Amino acid sequence: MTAEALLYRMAQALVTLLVLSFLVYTLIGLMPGDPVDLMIAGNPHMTAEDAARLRDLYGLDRPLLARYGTWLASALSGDLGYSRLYGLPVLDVIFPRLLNTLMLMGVALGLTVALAVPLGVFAAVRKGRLTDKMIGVFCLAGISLPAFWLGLLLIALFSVTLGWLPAGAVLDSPDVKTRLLSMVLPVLTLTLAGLAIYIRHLRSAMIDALRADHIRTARAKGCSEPRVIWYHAFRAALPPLVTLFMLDLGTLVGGAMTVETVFAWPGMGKLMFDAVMGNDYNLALCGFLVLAGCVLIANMLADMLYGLLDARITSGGKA
Amino acid sequence: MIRHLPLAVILLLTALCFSAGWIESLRGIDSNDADLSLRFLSPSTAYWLGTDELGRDVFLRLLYGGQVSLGVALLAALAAGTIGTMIGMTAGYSGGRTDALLMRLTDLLIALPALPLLIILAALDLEKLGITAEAAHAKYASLYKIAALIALLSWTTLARLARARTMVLRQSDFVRAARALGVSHPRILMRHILPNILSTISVAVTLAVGHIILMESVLSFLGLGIQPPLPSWGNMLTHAEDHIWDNTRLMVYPGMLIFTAVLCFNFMGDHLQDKLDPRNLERK
Repeated sequence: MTAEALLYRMAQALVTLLVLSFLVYTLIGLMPGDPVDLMIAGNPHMTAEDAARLRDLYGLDRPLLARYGTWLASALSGDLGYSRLYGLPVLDVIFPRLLNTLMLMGVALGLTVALAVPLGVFAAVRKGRLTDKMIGVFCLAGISLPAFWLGLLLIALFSVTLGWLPAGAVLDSPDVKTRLLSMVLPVLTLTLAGLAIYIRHLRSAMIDALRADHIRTARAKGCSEPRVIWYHAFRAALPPLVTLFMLDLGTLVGGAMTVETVFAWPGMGKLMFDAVMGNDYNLALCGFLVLAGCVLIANMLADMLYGLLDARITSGGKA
Repeated sequence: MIRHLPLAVILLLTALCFSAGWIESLRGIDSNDADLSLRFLSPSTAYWLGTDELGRDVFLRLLYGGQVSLGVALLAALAAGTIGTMIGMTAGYSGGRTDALLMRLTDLLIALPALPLLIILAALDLEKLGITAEAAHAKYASLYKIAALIALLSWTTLARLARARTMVLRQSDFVRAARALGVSHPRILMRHILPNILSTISVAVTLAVGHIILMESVLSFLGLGIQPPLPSWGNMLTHAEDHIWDNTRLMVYPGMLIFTAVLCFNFMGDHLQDKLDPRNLERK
């Protein structure tokens, strides 16, 4: 990917974020109540005049576009405002949560890919045979299973019945072992829930790759079967896979969200949920923009990676 | 034989769920009747699957929950199918700027994290959208709201499919012949292109139903979807989660039903897809 194309993509992502911020800002305005309503609820001595004065002070009586303009101006200068729920600047609230989510997703994703690659390739190579069919049934079950229910089942088995593992996240525990143990169930849930989609993508990409002419050539010149599969076919299967995985990232974030809620994992998903439930609209708005920004960046990375993996795109037809 | 099993299961499940009222009257139990002296009863001949945390019959609530969950899923899938087909056909048929614009929109929607967006959307105040307070708090308001929201975010895959198929068909001889005969564009779309892409669309809609059941269950589980006392398989799990330590049983049933329903729809969709895939014809 050339520098020019990269700049173009970045500009595109920025414009997308800008449009999104306006849309979500409008949506947030449509949620029940406004900040002054919440102040009234918290302070019984407030009169209607006080409320009107406060609305005037904070500019809540101004038209939507004007309010958005003010918000955008201060957001661009680095001031995203405060979280009502936590009494902290939103970025200070979001950042540690984002790290927690990235850690959970990173570990789960690593484990998922490590399991999905051998299983997916194996299924593709043995297409139509018993092992392939068994993996197929597993995948069908996997994509049909609600992730949060899987989490509940695992809690029921490992925490309630067997008592081996904690049911919730204890990330602030001083004991490393406790922290690690509390990660097992959320990671396991996310891995099991995501595995099926990845195996399916991998299998179909590998089957397509194994049909290509250069595979026949490789076999004809006497390449060993493992080399044909892992070097010639797997490499050809990679570019479409990268795109598929990155496109799934939005879904993955969603999956992580539900799992976070089940296991009380202090990540972005739980934060967004708490923000919406606790009428902390500024936090919800900024949280969503941060999540969307991450997904957009990941999509951009996928495009760049695609170029690296597939020489036909980088060379631009010069080869 | 096994290929028809999922369809049979779905039909049976739907029939069972929609005869809930009849079963209720036959057994003389009111599924909304809370009786705290009858909490957490084990399964018995009176309460086939026991009672929940408010002493309500779990079996009947599962059936009523099924009406809601399956109803929302079918409604949302059909709506998403209609929106997606219309947008995809328009984009694929007109090409140029319209196509570019519509596909940018689709790409954007696909890239967005759907669940966080759904959570924000689900929290919207219907009254601020100009809906009367009465309608906004009606018993089935949350049902229509969730179906609409999910449909609004699920049409993207269908639009892409419809667009791809339309672009192929647009170049075909029979469409060009129709145009040469002076057939109007809307008529070509409706009478010549739509019937030819309907099979592809219906497969995708079948798969979407499974996906939507899952989305609804997540939202309801989080407390943002179907609002109690209206039961859905998802919101039954919310309460069951609170009692996972003492009454694990309550958590198993709704999840089993979600899993079974989604599995059946996915199985049917996969099977139809395999049948339609021309690459699979070579070996038959």
